[in-house]
Amino acid sequence: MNFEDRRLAKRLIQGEEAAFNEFFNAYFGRLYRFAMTRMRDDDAARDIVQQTLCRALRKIDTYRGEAAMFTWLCQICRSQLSDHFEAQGRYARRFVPVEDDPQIQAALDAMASPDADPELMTGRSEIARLVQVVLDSLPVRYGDALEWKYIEGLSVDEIAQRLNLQHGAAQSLLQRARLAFRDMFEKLYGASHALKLFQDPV
Amino acid sequence: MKASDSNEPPHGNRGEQNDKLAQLLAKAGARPAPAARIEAEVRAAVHAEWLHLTQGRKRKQQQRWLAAAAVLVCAISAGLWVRHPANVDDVTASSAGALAVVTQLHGNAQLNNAAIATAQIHANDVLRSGEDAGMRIDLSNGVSVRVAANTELQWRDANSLQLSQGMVYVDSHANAAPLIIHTERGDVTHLGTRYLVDVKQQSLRGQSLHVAVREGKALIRATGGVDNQITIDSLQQVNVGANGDVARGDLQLNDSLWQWADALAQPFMIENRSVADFLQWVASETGCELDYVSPAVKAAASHTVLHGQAGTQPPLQAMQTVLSTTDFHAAVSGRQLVITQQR
Repeated sequence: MNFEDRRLAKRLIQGEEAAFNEFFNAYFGRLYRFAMTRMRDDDAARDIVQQTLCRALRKIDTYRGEAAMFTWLCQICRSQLSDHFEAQGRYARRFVPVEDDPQIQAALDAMASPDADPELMTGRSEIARLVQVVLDSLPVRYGDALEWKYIEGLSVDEIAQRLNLQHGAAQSLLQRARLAFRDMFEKLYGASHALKLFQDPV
Repeated sequence: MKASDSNEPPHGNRGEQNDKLAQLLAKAGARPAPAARIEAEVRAAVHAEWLHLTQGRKRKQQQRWLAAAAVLVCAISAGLWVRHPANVDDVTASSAGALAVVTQLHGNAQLNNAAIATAQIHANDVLRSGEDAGMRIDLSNGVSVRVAANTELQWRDANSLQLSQGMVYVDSHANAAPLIIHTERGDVTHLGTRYLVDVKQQSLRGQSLHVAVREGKALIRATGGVDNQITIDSLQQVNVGANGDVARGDLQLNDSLWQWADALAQPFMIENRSVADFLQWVASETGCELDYVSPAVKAAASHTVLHGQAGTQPPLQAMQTVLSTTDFHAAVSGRQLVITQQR
């Protein structure tokens, strides 16, 4: 059960402005990247994400927290994408569930760009994209904390300040984030590939 | 970029793994962020939708409470009647606070079928303006609504009204509370702006909706399609026909469309005020951006003091009248109000 996401949904229903900002700041960028892997067109992706978020807010009272909020949003986004392609008279891209875990499925969808072959996931740019997809798939604070620390180079104290946490709590969060990242990365890429990468980064 | 932290020394295999993970993440780079323009547009549209939904939920909740309260009042009334049939009037509802005040009125208007001069407006009040009438209504939340002639509307609450017929012009500053205008063809809301909403009956085909934006942005959630959102930018207008057809067009800042609304602006008292203050009022009323051709002209406008009265002319007309008594000149160019000075 995703209690934090469920609490956010309740606050959105109650009309709390801060909850809206939290919701939008957490999910807009991630959903936009999710849509962009399918659309390759800024304006079309914008429309899809806008429709997805509006639709999600309309049915937010049906969100029970069984799946993570982002996973739930990805399901709605997939449906919007299908409608879009059908309305365009184009081949309706089918999102065949290959994984039981909806979180993994959402991440796989995010990687499956129209012109990418998962078998060819060997190039550096594809690995980079995989890393970014994994970051997007993690709980918001995990992805952000890892990016701040290892890409922006922030200290634990600076991350603690951004997340309004004590130093120790931020350190624990980073540790959990690293474990979650490894876990997700291994699931997506395959344990053997992932281990090789951790031993010999690209 | 620094990616290490002195507070977190690597130790053993875990430290090594963390280093590898750090290298992997650093090489992958930051996740690409959407363009700021796109983010702002989507945020505004989604926020408007959320506000609309939130207000709808609150309304439903209020209706449920009112229904429950009504049942309770009926029960109490019945009880009182049984015990004291002569004192039914003891059970009265307290009056709610005013949502807005009519601060300026030209011609005839009615509030709940009674003629008004100035009046407070409460939730569910119905306002009708007569032929050649116009009024300005200031809401307690900082939004100002100007109502044209032959207009009928009903206030739902401090943040929404139902426009059944006619035209309103909304003037809201950037931080003003949201206002949703419900019409037969869709709901209109603002994103910190000045805009006009016009509802016309088109014989038997139903109503058309015309929205013109002078400054900022407005959003229509058209009826009939849940995802049918239309964003209208500054100096643009959109017409949603009775059949649902959408037509777009451009506008001028000093378009004749705004004249009736400008006539209802709060007059500016010019006595002992500087030309710069006066021009700032014109700019803020019309959505212009002041553009002094030089710092010297701006300084001169700040030091030139006006005397007399500008009357109740609309801002742009008042500007021509007032500036004709000075050596300053103003010309509208796109969004700019270009100020020059003759030497």
